[in-house]
Amino acid sequence: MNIERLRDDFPVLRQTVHGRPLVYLDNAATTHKPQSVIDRLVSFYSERNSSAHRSAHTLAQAAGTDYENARVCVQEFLNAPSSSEIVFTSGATDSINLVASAFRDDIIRPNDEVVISAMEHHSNLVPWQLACSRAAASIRVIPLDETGGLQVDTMERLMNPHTRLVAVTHVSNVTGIVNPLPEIISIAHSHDVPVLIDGSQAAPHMGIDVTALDCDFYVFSGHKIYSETGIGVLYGKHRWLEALPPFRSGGGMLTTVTLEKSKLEAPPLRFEAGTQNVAGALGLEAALAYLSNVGLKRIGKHEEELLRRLESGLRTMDGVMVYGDVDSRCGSLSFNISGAHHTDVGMVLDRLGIAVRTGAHCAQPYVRAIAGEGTIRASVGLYNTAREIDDLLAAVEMARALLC
Amino acid sequence: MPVDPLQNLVIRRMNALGDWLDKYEYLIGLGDRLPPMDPSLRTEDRLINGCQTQVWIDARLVDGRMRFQGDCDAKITRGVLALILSLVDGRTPAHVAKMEMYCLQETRLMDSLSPSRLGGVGAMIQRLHEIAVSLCD
Repeated sequence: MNIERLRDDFPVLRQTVHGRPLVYLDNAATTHKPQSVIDRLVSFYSERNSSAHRSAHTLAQAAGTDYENARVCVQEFLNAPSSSEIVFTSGATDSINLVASAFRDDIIRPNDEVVISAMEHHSNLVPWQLACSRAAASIRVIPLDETGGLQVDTMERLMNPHTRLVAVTHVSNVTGIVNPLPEIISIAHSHDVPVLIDGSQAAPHMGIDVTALDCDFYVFSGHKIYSETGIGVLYGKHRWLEALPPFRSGGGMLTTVTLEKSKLEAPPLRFEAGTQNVAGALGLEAALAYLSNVGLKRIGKHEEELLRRLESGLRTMDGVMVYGDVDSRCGSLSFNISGAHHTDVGMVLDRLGIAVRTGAHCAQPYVRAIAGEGTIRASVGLYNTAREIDDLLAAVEMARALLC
Repeated sequence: MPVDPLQNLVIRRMNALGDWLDKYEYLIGLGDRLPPMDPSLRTEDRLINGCQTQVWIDARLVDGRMRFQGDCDAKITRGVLALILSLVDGRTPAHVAKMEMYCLQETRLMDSLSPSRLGGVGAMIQRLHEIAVSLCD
């Protein structure tokens, strides 16, 4: 994998920050976009720009065809059985809210339970808190073990006839720990309970096969996978999408409408009320094509090596704590320097041209449990290099010298 | 905008330090010299919202002049807090209420500590103004 050549595909990377070459290690927050994605957006708006599934004119029909082709591309990316199981949303948060808002009425009732994990991002936590609060149901939590991973062996005890759903992340956005999905899904299914997987931090780094996983829902965001903001995906098994009420209502999600009553479209259009984000879907298609061209296996291996290099460098430094005691990580690594506030470290790194994220990473319960108030998180993408990891390690030494 | 000799001094000192790491070192030194805040004053109502770090500001009126105490759990932000408090401590509420902190722009400290997420300098200034206005009544 020729990283230097790949870097040329990402215009944002050709800049300096505070007089130093940008070292972008905040990919778990958002990734940069290859030129092919940017070109796809420009070509859509300069050549097509019509609303999908509305008008019969040539441009609109082309937009509709392109949009549905993008859906097929996502279906193939996830190895989903059918493109009708792919709903375009505005992002993973939107996808989870869609499912959580549909979990009402006869699907979730008073005294029912939703099982989540102690390492969730707020977007796979708060929608369930709200759904449970609406239904007078409650949350059960898969606890953490001493390594920072999940105590999946306790899950059996959390399941009971009131459990309505298990919602867990594929990969932690804080520690990069990968959860044992086959085990989690198998336990849930043995109780006839559906499983939603938040794949936001997994999809950019590894091949996803929802058919092999047998999960009931899988969500991810476009902007974390080299596409643009405002587009995301919800995969849902046909029988679930068929059973769920719509999230929003409006144009394009109905077959017939009278002033009294409306007949709903079948999924996925039932869940795509209003004018669809056609450009978003096409940009996502271009991003997935880019990833497939480079090869997700190669990307995953390269990124894992970068994180290994970073972890072994950090572990040799006195007073540096790396969170999560695991053999391999996916995408992200969190650490702290003893005696230095994480925001101070982030500010010093920024002045050295290095972009990381500091704080609780929208996963306050998890960060509080493993690290306290916050951490410094470095998260890698396909365009990061070993030299950049070394730059980060040198900058951490400088930050420590200044702050401790 | 009225000229403030103290702010002009801050601008001269900060801008004489070429490198941002030197500026941070200077600010950390200021923070180290900020007198410790009475722990009982670290209350929710003295906490500044909008900062990623925890920043507390306490103000009292003594003989018509404002006297401040402050604290922060991060060193660089603590330094900025010390700098800002040194500009307002001992002034009258009417003065502080009208004060424009132009030195934060001219030293680019405002850019350095983005108001929404990181340092919340804007939130600190807003709180100082609010306290001063409330003490003017």
